[in-house]
Amino acid sequence: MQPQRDFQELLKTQCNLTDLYRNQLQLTTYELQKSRGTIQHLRAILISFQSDFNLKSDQMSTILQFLQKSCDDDTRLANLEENFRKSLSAVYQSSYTPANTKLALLPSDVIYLILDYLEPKELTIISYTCKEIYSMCKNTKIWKSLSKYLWKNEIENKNEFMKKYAQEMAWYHTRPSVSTLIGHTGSVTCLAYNPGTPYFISGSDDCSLSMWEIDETHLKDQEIVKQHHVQTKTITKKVCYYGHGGPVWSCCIGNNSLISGSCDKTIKVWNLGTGRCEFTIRGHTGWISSIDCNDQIIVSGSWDSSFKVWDQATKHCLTTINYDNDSVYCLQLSQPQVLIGLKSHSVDLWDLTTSQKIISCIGHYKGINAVKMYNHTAFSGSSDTLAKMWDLRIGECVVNLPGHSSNVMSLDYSFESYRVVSASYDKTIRIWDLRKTNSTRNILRGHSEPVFSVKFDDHKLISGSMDQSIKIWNFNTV
Amino acid sequence: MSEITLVSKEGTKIQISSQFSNLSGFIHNILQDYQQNEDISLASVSFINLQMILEYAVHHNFQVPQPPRCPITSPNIADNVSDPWDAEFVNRLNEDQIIDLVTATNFLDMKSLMDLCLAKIACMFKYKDIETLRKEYGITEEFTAEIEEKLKSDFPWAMEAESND
Repeated sequence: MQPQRDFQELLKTQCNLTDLYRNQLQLTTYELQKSRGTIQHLRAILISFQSDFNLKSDQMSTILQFLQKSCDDDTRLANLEENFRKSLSAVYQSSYTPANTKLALLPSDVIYLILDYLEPKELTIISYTCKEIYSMCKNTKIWKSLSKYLWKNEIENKNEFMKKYAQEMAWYHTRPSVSTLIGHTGSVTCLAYNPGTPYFISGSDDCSLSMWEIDETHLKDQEIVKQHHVQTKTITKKVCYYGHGGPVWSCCIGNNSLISGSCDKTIKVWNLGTGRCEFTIRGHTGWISSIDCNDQIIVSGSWDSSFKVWDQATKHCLTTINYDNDSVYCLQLSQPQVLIGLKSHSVDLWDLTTSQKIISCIGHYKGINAVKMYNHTAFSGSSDTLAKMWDLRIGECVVNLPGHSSNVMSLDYSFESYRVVSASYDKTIRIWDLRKTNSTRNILRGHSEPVFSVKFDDHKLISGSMDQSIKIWNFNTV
Repeated sequence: MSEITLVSKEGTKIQISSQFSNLSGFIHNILQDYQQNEDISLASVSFINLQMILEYAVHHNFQVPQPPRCPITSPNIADNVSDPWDAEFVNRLNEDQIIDLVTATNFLDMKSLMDLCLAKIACMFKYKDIETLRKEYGITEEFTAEIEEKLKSDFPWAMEAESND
């Protein structure tokens, strides 16, 4: 009964602390019966002595509850003093027994500093170990610094943070619901999608392109989405674009127009809404593998060892840059620069204003199938099964993303979420987190043939495959 | 610069360079109006802790070192600090000693060493599930199946065992 004796001693010293306190505890039963207000008094004293007793908040509430009960019950009131001592001692025992750690003795502001070092996962777990930590974990400062670390912006509210974090974790820990779109009669080779818009474009080996409209309200309806079948309600095929004389290999969405490049060596500009071909641009002498545009220009890369820059308004060729017997497999425009992926294993960065090559990134040992850039960071996917992250200022590989067992065909990257997605000939899609690059965070299996194209936004991922289907992987947590 | 004399809880005196004020806000404040050869009494720092603090201060040459990575990304403290000596320094202490040291450094307002100790404590929480933590820290508060269910449904990602990748 060691704790109890400790308690008695503690109580004694506490009692000596002040006359007021001693007087209150020595109240006679008679006096107590006489004045229920005394209970209020006792309560006030208890609260003011909380820190001296080292009482925790839930222990306090137990005692206060006891006092409240005494108010309602006359027989208990008679033995108030004794009962009060008893309940206090019971509380004390429970607070002494688990003391096999000194951690509880640290002041709370120091504990907060410890919590600062934890990631959301540990914070959640630790907050469920005891009530006190749970209430501490609601502190806004912790979430503010964590969200700054995770997303470079500050979210103070724990619930808001959790919502955002749950969405992010859904990408890495849950199985998405999948909608499969059937419509093309050839491999789906390319996708164009601007996050935020309710539609996307797919291009196929069947020489056509299609526009699909996504009904987000239905996509959020868990019941519909869970059915996991060929969707008719959530996504509808709006427009088809017929006219190319060969497989369509690349497309991009421009200023209210759709631009596509095909194996028939032409680039076509389509009216996005009506599906009419408005321009046919000729000039390349080989298959057009890749295309990108902005408001002023169109850049196209071809297997004829060149890439060309076209004026968006007049559709005239502004620049042609020729390689020596080296196909351009992929490119991305980021005015005034363009990033080129080549058959000869290298990733080149060109300046369009001067038509000069800025830097070559050498490291892959097979052709480059996909490139993606943002500021000074570039990603490349190659037939050597690797995806690499490059620092364009020095032209060196910063991070390797190994995991695919076959050619990497497509890549997408979002700067805000640190997320990279790669699609491969091994029929899988891998999701990477740039904060933890040493392993794949999630693998999506479902396509029965190689995956050629992939795009994603906040909560969904769109992929096109050789199995002629497009799949929408929905990670929405709602 | 000159030397100052620190007096531990037990009354043992230790001489140390006054550069120590770089690391300790408490000492820094005292030195604002300090007279030569005056003893500085540290009533809540034991001799053992004081020795360790000085060892740390001397190793870092009285300069504030780089803070540990925040948040920590590995349960091994050595992966989260830049100086391997720091990791070795805290790894030879047990939990109670670390907490004593935290109390002492908190008193001395010595952020650098306190951060190191706190990061080490945080490392102890990493990759552990609720049951282990409750057992280790002897928490007897009720943890019902209901709460566990709620936790699982609200935060499925938190309950999944994470590989030490």
